[in-house]
Amino acid sequence: MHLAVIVLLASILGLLFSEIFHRRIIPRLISRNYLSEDVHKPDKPRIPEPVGPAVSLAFIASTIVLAPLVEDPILLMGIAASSGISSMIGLLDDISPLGAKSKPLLLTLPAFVMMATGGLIPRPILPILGRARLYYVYWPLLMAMYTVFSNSVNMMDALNGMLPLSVFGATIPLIPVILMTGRDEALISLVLLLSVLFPYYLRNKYPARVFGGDSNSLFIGATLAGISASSNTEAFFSISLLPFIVSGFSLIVSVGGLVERREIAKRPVVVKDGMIRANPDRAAPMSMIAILTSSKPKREPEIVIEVALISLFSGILSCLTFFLLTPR
Amino acid sequence: MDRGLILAIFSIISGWALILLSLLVIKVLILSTREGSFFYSLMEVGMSFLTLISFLFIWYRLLRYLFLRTKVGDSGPGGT
Repeated sequence: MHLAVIVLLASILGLLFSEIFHRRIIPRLISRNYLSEDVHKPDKPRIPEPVGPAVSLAFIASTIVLAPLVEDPILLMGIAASSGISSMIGLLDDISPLGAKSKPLLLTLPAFVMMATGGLIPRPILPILGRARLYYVYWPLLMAMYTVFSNSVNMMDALNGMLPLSVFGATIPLIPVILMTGRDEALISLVLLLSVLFPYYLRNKYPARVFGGDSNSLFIGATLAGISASSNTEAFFSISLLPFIVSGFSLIVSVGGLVERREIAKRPVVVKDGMIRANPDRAAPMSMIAILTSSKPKREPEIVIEVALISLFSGILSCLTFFLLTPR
Repeated sequence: MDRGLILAIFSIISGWALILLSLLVIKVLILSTREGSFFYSLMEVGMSFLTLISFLFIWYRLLRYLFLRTKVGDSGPGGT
């Protein structure tokens, strides 16, 4: 079947499955009192969480339907399986918080699923260098990438609608890059991810009616890692996800190592009358939201738009790097 | 556009430049070492990581310094 038809089918299936799962899961979360406080609102409303399984299950269900239509169904299923494992780790963390050190370690597990597919080529495309040959170091780097991507995306899930909107901004400019690599499975997975995220975004945008939880953010991080590994565009996804990585890296270094988000003693930002600003304490950690609010307090939707625009900027930067600074 | 947003954009551009600069150094390293030997390949990888880590360290210190200056600075309300 023609790629354009499969991509169109993927976007319809993703939207449809995601909407169905959202409608099924949200009432169940409410009836079982799975609710979390929205700490950035003055009245602190209680919001259903985690809705992540609605997103990840929609992705997996769509992949199962689409697998017989692609050239390498094992690779496509591998991306979905590894993302599913990450979502399960996230769900475990949502129900009973995992340790700050055990979670990154657990998040290397999805990398083994991708290795087992046999569809990965340890020759990533790098800016300036072109195709590298990393036969020995690629595999440990792949495990590290899963952890870095998943944790960075997780740390970006701080404000209403910020995560899905930033993912849209950072990854849509990468579509031409993946098209150029010729890995259809990666392109289909990316389109599926964007489609399943859309119904979630409509419910998670300001003022949020649902929260995804770690089962959503870790799933997204692992899916992005899987897509980049299967298309050898790891470096371009890293550039595209720079706002996520900068935020996560700065936060980890500022607090002096791996610390669970809820365990950070000094918060990077303070909230007063619905306005968010960087914590004036010099010892407070640095995150992307803290950087954006370092000079003046801002409202939540304003910060979300700024982060999404910065993500779009880094996505375009990544696309330009591929087309202008990468030997082929 | 306020100073916080400018700093955020700077963090992305400098992070991107850091990646490219590291890759450029790696390219120079590759061109200057003998090809084919496992030992040299290992050395290349080690040197590449060292380059990346040292650049990352300098970049983080610079970003943190600018962040603290913007946060605790008293040069107006922040609008430009």
